[in-house]
Amino acid sequence: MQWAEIVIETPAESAEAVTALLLEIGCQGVAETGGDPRTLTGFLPDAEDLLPRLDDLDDRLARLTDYGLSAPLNISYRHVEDTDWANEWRRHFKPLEIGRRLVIKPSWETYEGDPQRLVIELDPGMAFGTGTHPTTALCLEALEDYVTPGSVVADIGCGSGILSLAAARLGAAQVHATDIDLLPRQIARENVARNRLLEQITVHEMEAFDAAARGCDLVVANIIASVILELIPPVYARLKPGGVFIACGIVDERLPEVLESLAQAGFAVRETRSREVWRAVISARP
Amino acid sequence: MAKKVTAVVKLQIAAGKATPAPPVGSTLGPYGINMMEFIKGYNERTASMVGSIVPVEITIYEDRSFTFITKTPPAADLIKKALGIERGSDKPNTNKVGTLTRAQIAAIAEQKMPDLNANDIDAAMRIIEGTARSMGVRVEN
Repeated sequence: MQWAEIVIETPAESAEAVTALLLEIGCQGVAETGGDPRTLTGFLPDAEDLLPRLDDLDDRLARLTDYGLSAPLNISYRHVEDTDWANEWRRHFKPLEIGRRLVIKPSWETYEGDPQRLVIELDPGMAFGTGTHPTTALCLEALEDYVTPGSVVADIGCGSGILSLAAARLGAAQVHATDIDLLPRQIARENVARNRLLEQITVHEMEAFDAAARGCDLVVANIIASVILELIPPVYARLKPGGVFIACGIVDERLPEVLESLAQAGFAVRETRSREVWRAVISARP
Repeated sequence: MAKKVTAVVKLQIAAGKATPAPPVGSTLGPYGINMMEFIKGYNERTASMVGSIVPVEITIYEDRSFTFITKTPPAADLIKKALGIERGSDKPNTNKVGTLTRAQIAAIAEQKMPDLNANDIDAAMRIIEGTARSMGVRVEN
Protein backbone atom coordinates (compact mmCIF):
# COMPACT_ATOMS: atom_id res chain seq x y z
CA MET A 1 0.00 0.00 0.00
CA GLN A 2 1.08 3.55 -0.62
CA TRP A 3 0.36 6.40 1.70
CA ALA A 4 -0.16 10.10 1.24
CA GLU A 5 1.73 12.00 3.90
CA ILE A 6 0.13 15.33 4.77
CA VAL A 7 2.37 17.82 6.54
CA ILE A 8 0.79 20.98 7.92
CA GLU A 9 2.72 23.75 9.58
CA THR A 10 0.40 25.87 11.66
CA PRO A 11 0.40 28.51 14.38
CA ALA A 12 0.03 26.62 17.68
CA GLU A 13 -3.40 28.07 18.41
CA SER A 14 -4.84 26.21 15.40
CA ALA A 15 -3.09 22.91 16.19
CA GLU A 16 -6.08 21.39 18.02
CA ALA A 17 -8.46 22.22 15.17
CA VAL A 18 -6.05 20.99 12.47
CA THR A 19 -5.46 17.74 14.39
CA ALA A 20 -9.23 17.27 14.63
CA LEU A 21 -9.57 17.81 10.87
CA LEU A 22 -6.84 15.31 10.05
CA LEU A 23 -8.50 12.68 12.22
CA GLU A 24 -11.91 13.58 10.81
CA ILE A 25 -10.84 12.97 7.20
CA GLY A 26 -9.58 9.50 8.14
CA CYS A 27 -6.00 9.74 9.39
CA GLN A 28 -5.30 7.02 11.95
CA GLY A 29 -3.23 9.38 14.04
CA VAL A 30 -1.27 12.60 13.93
CA ALA A 31 2.40 13.16 14.73
CA GLU A 32 3.24 16.49 16.27
CA THR A 33 6.57 18.30 16.48
CA GLY A 34 7.69 21.82 17.33
CA GLY A 35 6.23 24.50 19.56
CA ASP A 36 4.88 27.53 17.78
CA PRO A 37 4.54 27.11 14.83
CA ARG A 38 3.75 23.43 15.10
CA THR A 39 4.15 20.74 12.47
CA LEU A 40 1.39 18.16 12.24
CA THR A 41 1.75 15.06 10.09
CA GLY A 42 -1.03 12.67 9.12
CA PHE A 43 -1.29 9.80 6.67
CA LEU A 44 -4.08 8.58 4.43
CA PRO A 45 -4.07 5.37 2.40
CA ASP A 46 -3.48 6.24 -1.25
CA ALA A 47 -6.88 4.92 -2.32
CA GLU A 48 -9.47 6.10 -4.86
CA ASP A 49 -11.09 8.57 -2.49
CA LEU A 50 -7.79 10.28 -1.64
CA LEU A 51 -8.23 13.34 -3.83
CA PRO A 52 -11.74 14.23 -2.63
CA ARG A 53 -10.55 13.83 0.95
CA LEU A 54 -7.59 16.13 0.38
CA ASP A 55 -9.85 18.68 -1.34
CA ASP A 56 -12.16 18.54 1.66
CA LEU A 57 -9.20 19.08 3.98
CA ASP A 58 -7.98 22.07 1.95
CA ASP A 59 -11.44 23.68 2.05
CA ARG A 60 -11.80 23.23 5.76
CA LEU A 61 -8.29 24.44 6.57
CA ALA A 62 -8.96 27.58 4.54
CA ARG A 63 -12.05 28.26 6.66
CA LEU A 64 -10.28 28.13 10.04
CA THR A 65 -10.03 31.92 10.01
CA ASP A 66 -13.88 32.08 10.02
CA TYR A 67 -13.77 30.52 13.48
CA GLY A 68 -11.30 32.97 15.00
CA LEU A 69 -8.25 30.76 14.48
CA SER A 70 -5.14 31.37 12.36
CA ALA A 71 -4.73 29.79 8.94
CA PRO A 72 -2.00 27.17 8.48
CA LEU A 73 1.31 28.54 7.25
CA ASN A 74 2.14 25.69 4.93
CA ILE A 75 0.58 22.47 3.65
CA SER A 76 2.45 19.83 1.70
CA TYR A 77 1.74 16.32 0.44
CA ARG A 78 4.08 13.51 -0.41
CA HIS A 79 3.70 9.88 -1.44
CA VAL A 80 5.26 7.43 0.98
CA GLU A 81 5.94 3.80 0.11
CA ASP A 82 4.68 1.28 2.59
CA THR A 83 7.55 -0.12 4.61
CA ASP A 84 7.82 -2.98 7.03
CA TRP A 85 7.42 -0.45 9.83
CA ALA A 86 7.15 -3.15 12.49
CA ASN A 87 10.67 -4.35 11.74
CA GLU A 88 12.30 -1.31 10.18
CA TRP A 89 13.81 -0.13 13.49
CA ARG A 90 15.68 -3.40 13.86
CA ARG A 91 18.04 -2.37 11.06
CA HIS A 92 19.65 -0.02 13.58
CA PHE A 93 20.86 -2.91 15.72
CA LYS A 94 23.61 -5.33 14.71
CA PRO A 95 25.79 -7.53 16.90
CA LEU A 96 28.17 -5.20 18.69
CA GLU A 97 31.63 -6.38 19.72
CA ILE A 98 32.77 -4.63 22.88
CA GLY A 99 36.21 -4.83 24.42
CA ARG A 100 38.25 -7.98 23.86
CA ARG A 101 35.76 -10.63 24.93
CA LEU A 102 32.14 -9.52 24.70
CA VAL A 103 29.52 -9.25 21.99
CA ILE A 104 26.02 -7.84 22.44
CA LYS A 105 23.60 -9.53 20.06
CA PRO A 106 19.93 -8.73 19.39
CA SER A 107 17.82 -11.90 19.47
CA TRP A 108 16.89 -11.69 15.78
CA GLU A 109 20.51 -11.48 14.58
CA THR A 110 23.10 -14.22 14.30
CA TYR A 111 26.71 -13.65 15.30
CA GLU A 112 29.30 -15.44 13.25
CA GLY A 113 32.40 -13.56 14.31
CA ASP A 114 34.96 -14.66 16.86
CA PRO A 115 33.63 -17.86 18.52
CA GLN A 116 35.70 -17.08 21.63
CA ARG A 117 33.61 -14.01 22.40
CA LEU A 118 30.99 -14.24 25.15
CA VAL A 119 27.56 -13.55 23.71
CA ILE A 120 25.02 -11.44 25.60
CA GLU A 121 21.62 -11.60 23.98
CA LEU A 122 19.81 -8.33 24.50
CA ASP A 123 16.84 -6.87 22.68
CA PRO A 124 16.82 -3.13 23.00
CA GLY A 125 13.80 -1.91 24.85
CA MET A 126 12.65 0.87 27.05
CA ALA A 127 15.36 0.47 29.69
CA PHE A 128 18.72 2.14 29.34
CA GLY A 129 21.67 -0.04 28.40
CA THR A 130 21.78 -1.34 24.85
CA GLY A 131 25.57 -1.28 24.62
CA THR A 132 25.59 1.64 22.20
CA HIS A 133 26.11 4.32 24.84
CA PRO A 134 29.71 5.31 25.69
CA THR A 135 29.14 4.83 29.43
CA THR A 136 27.80 1.31 28.91
CA ALA A 137 30.80 0.45 26.74
CA LEU A 138 33.21 1.89 29.35
CA CYS A 139 31.63 -0.27 32.06
CA LEU A 140 31.63 -3.40 29.93
CA GLU A 141 35.32 -2.98 29.16
CA ALA A 142 36.13 -2.36 32.82
CA LEU A 143 34.14 -5.46 33.82
CA GLU A 144 36.24 -7.51 31.40
CA ASP A 145 39.34 -6.41 33.23
CA TYR A 146 38.11 -6.63 36.81
CA VAL A 147 35.55 -9.45 37.13
CA THR A 148 37.25 -12.52 38.52
CA PRO A 149 35.87 -16.07 38.22
CA GLY A 150 33.62 -17.06 41.10
CA SER A 151 33.24 -13.50 42.38
CA VAL A 152 30.25 -11.69 43.89
CA VAL A 153 29.19 -8.61 41.92
CA ALA A 154 26.60 -5.86 42.57
CA ASP A 155 25.08 -3.71 39.82
CA ILE A 156 23.37 -0.53 41.03
CA GLY A 157 21.07 1.18 38.52
CA CYS A 158 20.95 -1.92 36.34
CA GLY A 159 18.67 -0.58 33.56
CA SER A 160 18.32 -3.34 30.95
CA GLY A 161 20.61 -5.56 33.06
CA ILE A 162 23.39 -5.48 30.47
CA LEU A 163 26.22 -5.05 33.00
CA SER A 164 24.94 -7.86 35.23
CA LEU A 165 24.68 -10.13 32.19
CA ALA A 166 28.25 -9.28 31.23
CA ALA A 167 29.54 -9.87 34.77
CA ALA A 168 27.90 -13.31 34.86
CA ARG A 169 29.22 -14.23 31.41
CA LEU A 170 32.67 -13.13 32.54
CA GLY A 171 32.56 -15.63 35.37
CA ALA A 172 30.94 -13.97 38.37
CA ALA A 173 29.25 -16.62 40.50
CA GLN A 174 26.64 -14.32 41.96
CA VAL A 175 25.34 -10.98 40.70
CA HIS A 176 22.97 -8.75 42.67
CA ALA A 177 21.26 -6.12 40.51
CA THR A 178 18.83 -3.37 41.35
CA ASP A 179 17.24 -0.27 39.89
CA ILE A 180 15.22 2.47 41.52
CA ASP A 181 12.49 2.06 38.86
CA LEU A 182 10.14 -0.89 38.52
CA LEU A 183 10.19 -1.03 34.73
CA PRO A 184 13.95 -1.59 34.30
CA ARG A 185 13.81 -4.25 37.03
CA GLN A 186 11.16 -6.12 35.04
CA ILE A 187 13.07 -5.73 31.78
CA ALA A 188 16.33 -6.80 33.43
CA ARG A 189 14.60 -9.94 34.76
CA GLU A 190 13.37 -10.77 31.25
CA ASN A 191 16.89 -10.33 29.87
CA VAL A 192 18.37 -12.52 32.61
CA ALA A 193 15.88 -15.26 31.71
CA ARG A 194 16.57 -14.84 27.99
CA ASN A 195 20.27 -15.44 28.66
CA ARG A 196 19.54 -18.38 31.00
CA LEU A 197 21.44 -16.72 33.84
CA LEU A 198 18.70 -16.97 36.46
CA GLU A 199 20.94 -18.93 38.82
CA GLN A 200 23.71 -16.37 38.74
CA ILE A 201 21.80 -13.07 38.63
CA THR A 202 19.12 -11.80 41.00
CA VAL A 203 17.33 -8.55 40.23
CA HIS A 204 16.26 -7.18 43.60
CA GLU A 205 14.00 -4.43 44.77
CA MET A 206 16.02 -1.79 46.61
CA GLU A 207 15.45 -3.08 50.15
CA ALA A 208 16.18 -6.70 49.30
CA PHE A 209 19.28 -5.57 47.43
CA ASP A 210 20.45 -3.69 50.48
CA ALA A 211 20.33 -6.88 52.54
CA ALA A 212 21.72 -9.23 49.88
CA ALA A 213 24.57 -7.29 48.29
CA ARG A 214 27.16 -7.59 51.06
CA GLY A 215 30.77 -8.71 50.96
CA CYS A 216 31.05 -7.99 47.25
CA ASP A 217 34.18 -8.40 45.17
CA LEU A 218 33.01 -5.76 42.73
CA VAL A 219 30.33 -3.08 42.55
CA VAL A 220 29.43 -1.34 39.30
CA ALA A 221 27.21 1.76 39.10
CA ASN A 222 26.57 3.46 35.78
CA ILE A 223 24.37 6.36 36.83
CA ILE A 224 25.27 10.06 37.07
CA ALA A 225 27.82 11.91 39.19
CA SER A 226 25.35 13.25 41.77
CA VAL A 227 24.05 9.75 42.50
CA ILE A 228 27.55 8.25 42.46
CA LEU A 229 28.57 10.79 45.12
CA GLU A 230 25.77 9.58 47.39
CA LEU A 231 26.61 5.95 46.74
CA ILE A 232 30.30 6.11 47.62
CA PRO A 233 30.07 5.46 51.40
CA PRO A 234 27.44 2.67 51.16
CA VAL A 235 29.35 1.01 48.31
CA TYR A 236 32.51 1.03 50.45
CA ALA A 237 30.57 -0.87 53.11
CA ARG A 238 29.36 -3.44 50.56
CA LEU A 239 32.86 -4.33 49.38
CA LYS A 240 35.27 -6.86 50.80
CA PRO A 241 38.76 -5.52 51.47
CA GLY A 242 40.42 -5.47 48.06
CA GLY A 243 37.01 -5.16 46.35
CA VAL A 244 36.66 -2.95 43.28
CA PHE A 245 34.20 -0.14 42.57
CA ILE A 246 33.51 0.82 38.94
CA ALA A 247 31.73 4.18 38.96
CA CYS A 248 30.53 5.53 35.62
CA GLY A 249 28.13 8.01 34.00
CA ILE A 250 30.37 10.80 35.27
CA VAL A 251 30.80 13.78 32.96
CA ASP A 252 34.27 15.22 32.73
CA GLU A 253 33.59 18.34 34.83
CA ARG A 254 32.25 16.32 37.76
CA LEU A 255 35.29 14.03 37.87
CA PRO A 256 37.33 15.99 40.50
CA GLU A 257 34.42 15.89 42.97
CA VAL A 258 34.00 12.15 42.53
CA LEU A 259 37.75 11.53 42.95
CA GLU A 260 37.81 13.62 46.11
CA SER A 261 34.82 11.84 47.64
CA LEU A 262 36.30 8.44 46.82
CA ALA A 263 39.53 9.40 48.58
CA GLN A 264 37.61 10.76 51.59
CA ALA A 265 35.67 7.51 51.91
CA GLY A 266 38.93 5.55 51.96
CA PHE A 267 39.00 4.25 48.39
CA ALA A 268 42.29 3.98 46.49
CA VAL A 269 41.75 5.12 42.91
CA ARG A 270 43.33 2.70 40.46
CA GLU A 271 42.51 4.34 37.13
CA THR A 272 40.20 6.68 35.25
CA ARG A 273 38.99 5.76 31.78
CA SER A 274 37.33 8.07 29.30
CA ARG A 275 35.16 8.05 26.22
CA GLU A 276 33.79 11.26 24.75
CA VAL A 277 32.75 13.43 27.74
CA TRP A 278 32.23 10.42 29.99
CA ARG A 279 34.55 9.12 32.69
CA ALA A 280 34.68 5.83 34.54
CA VAL A 281 36.61 5.70 37.79
CA ILE A 282 37.92 2.38 39.03
CA SER A 283 38.87 2.33 42.69
CA ALA A 284 39.46 -0.29 45.35
CA ARG A 285 38.76 -0.69 49.05
CA PRO A 286 42.17 -1.26 50.66
CA MET B 1 21.64 6.24 33.94
CA ALA B 2 23.49 8.85 31.99
CA LYS B 3 20.78 9.66 29.54
CA LYS B 4 20.81 12.31 26.87
CA VAL B 5 17.61 13.06 25.00
CA THR B 6 17.76 12.60 21.22
CA ALA B 7 14.17 13.56 20.42
CA VAL B 8 10.75 14.17 21.89
CA VAL B 9 7.90 13.05 19.64
CA LYS B 10 4.20 13.53 20.25
CA LEU B 11 1.58 11.30 18.65
CA GLN B 12 -2.19 11.68 18.75
CA ILE B 13 -3.43 8.13 18.38
CA ALA B 14 -6.40 5.98 19.30
CA ALA B 15 -6.24 4.46 22.78
CA GLY B 16 -5.53 0.73 22.82
CA LYS B 17 -5.23 0.58 19.03
CA ALA B 18 -1.70 1.63 18.12
CA THR B 19 -0.22 -0.33 15.21
CA PRO B 20 3.08 -0.07 13.32
CA ALA B 21 1.27 1.64 10.40
CA PRO B 22 1.81 5.38 9.94
CA PRO B 23 2.02 7.64 11.83
CA VAL B 24 3.49 5.42 14.60
CA GLY B 25 5.83 3.39 12.38
CA SER B 26 6.85 6.18 10.08
CA THR B 27 7.52 8.56 12.96
CA LEU B 28 9.33 6.25 15.38
CA GLY B 29 11.01 3.94 12.82
CA PRO B 30 13.75 6.37 11.86
CA TYR B 31 14.78 6.75 15.53
CA GLY B 32 15.42 3.02 15.77
CA ILE B 33 13.49 2.46 18.97
CA ASN B 34 11.85 -0.88 19.73
CA MET B 35 8.52 -0.02 18.20
CA MET B 36 6.66 -3.16 19.15
CA GLU B 37 7.55 -2.54 22.75
CA PHE B 38 6.18 0.99 22.52
CA ILE B 39 2.99 -0.25 20.86
CA LYS B 40 2.48 -2.94 23.47
CA GLY B 41 3.13 -0.50 26.32
CA TYR B 42 0.87 2.20 24.90
CA ASN B 43 -2.01 -0.20 24.18
CA GLU B 44 -1.75 -1.70 27.65
CA ARG B 45 -1.69 1.64 29.37
CA THR B 46 -4.62 3.03 27.36
CA ALA B 47 -6.76 -0.11 27.19
CA SER B 48 -9.38 1.36 29.51
CA MET B 49 -9.76 4.44 27.30
CA VAL B 50 -10.61 2.75 23.99
CA GLY B 51 -12.74 5.07 21.88
CA SER B 52 -10.70 8.14 22.80
CA ILE B 53 -7.65 9.65 21.20
CA VAL B 54 -4.95 9.58 23.86
CA PRO B 55 -1.92 11.69 22.95
CA VAL B 56 1.44 10.29 23.94
CA GLU B 57 4.78 12.01 24.29
CA ILE B 58 7.75 9.77 23.64
CA THR B 59 11.21 10.77 24.81
CA ILE B 60 13.98 9.01 22.94
CA TYR B 61 17.46 8.79 24.44
CA GLU B 62 20.89 8.60 22.89
CA ASP B 63 21.14 4.81 23.19
CA ARG B 64 17.66 4.41 21.62
CA SER B 65 15.99 3.55 24.88
CA PHE B 66 12.82 5.57 25.49
CA THR B 67 10.07 6.55 27.90
CA PHE B 68 6.57 7.77 27.21
CA ILE B 69 3.80 9.62 29.01
CA THR B 70 0.17 9.91 27.99
CA LYS B 71 -1.51 13.32 27.91
CA THR B 72 -5.05 14.67 28.13
CA PRO B 73 -7.28 13.87 25.14
CA PRO B 74 -7.31 16.42 22.31
CA ALA B 75 -9.82 19.28 22.48
CA ALA B 76 -11.96 17.73 19.72
CA ASP B 77 -12.39 14.56 21.79
CA LEU B 78 -13.43 16.54 24.86
CA ILE B 79 -15.87 18.59 22.77
CA LYS B 80 -17.45 15.45 21.28
CA LYS B 81 -17.74 13.90 24.74
CA ALA B 82 -19.36 17.03 26.15
CA LEU B 83 -21.96 16.87 23.37
CA GLY B 84 -22.32 13.09 23.33
CA ILE B 85 -21.55 12.90 19.61
CA GLU B 86 -19.33 10.52 17.63
CA ARG B 87 -17.90 12.96 15.12
CA GLY B 88 -17.89 16.54 13.96
CA SER B 89 -19.87 17.91 11.03
CA ASP B 90 -18.59 17.38 7.51
CA LYS B 91 -20.15 20.74 6.57
CA PRO B 92 -19.40 22.84 9.65
CA ASN B 93 -20.85 26.06 8.20
CA THR B 94 -24.29 24.73 7.39
CA ASN B 95 -24.75 21.48 9.24
CA LYS B 96 -24.51 22.02 13.02
CA VAL B 97 -23.99 19.03 15.30
CA GLY B 98 -24.60 20.62 18.69
CA THR B 99 -24.22 23.61 20.98
CA LEU B 100 -21.72 24.19 23.78
CA THR B 101 -22.22 26.69 26.60
CA ARG B 102 -19.52 29.15 27.64
CA ALA B 103 -19.17 27.17 30.86
CA GLN B 104 -18.49 23.96 28.90
CA ILE B 105 -15.91 25.79 26.77
CA ALA B 106 -14.27 27.12 29.95
CA ALA B 107 -14.19 23.66 31.53
CA ILE B 108 -12.52 22.12 28.46
CA ALA B 109 -10.09 25.05 28.21
CA GLU B 110 -9.11 24.56 31.83
CA GLN B 111 -8.55 20.83 31.34
CA LYS B 112 -6.45 21.40 28.20
CA MET B 113 -4.57 24.43 29.54
CA PRO B 114 -1.33 22.55 30.30
CA ASP B 115 -1.07 21.30 26.70
CA LEU B 116 -2.19 24.45 24.92
CA ASN B 117 0.18 27.16 23.90
CA ALA B 118 -2.03 29.73 25.62
CA ASN B 119 -0.95 32.51 27.98
CA ASP B 120 -4.23 32.72 29.87
CA ILE B 121 -7.64 31.13 30.14
CA ASP B 122 -9.14 33.60 27.65
CA ALA B 123 -6.65 32.58 24.98
CA ALA B 124 -7.28 28.90 25.80
CA MET B 125 -11.05 29.41 25.52
CA ARG B 126 -10.60 31.09 22.15
CA ILE B 127 -8.68 28.02 20.90
CA ILE B 128 -11.35 25.64 22.20
CA GLU B 129 -14.15 27.76 20.78
CA GLY B 130 -12.47 27.94 17.36
CA THR B 131 -11.87 24.18 17.37
CA ALA B 132 -15.51 23.55 18.30
CA ARG B 133 -16.82 25.87 15.60
CA SER B 134 -14.55 24.26 12.99
CA MET B 135 -16.30 20.98 13.86
CA GLY B 136 -19.76 22.43 13.25
CA VAL B 137 -20.50 23.10 16.91
CA ARG B 138 -22.39 26.27 17.91
CA VAL B 139 -21.08 28.19 20.89
CA GLU B 140 -23.49 30.11 23.12
CA ASN B 141 -22.65 33.74 23.56
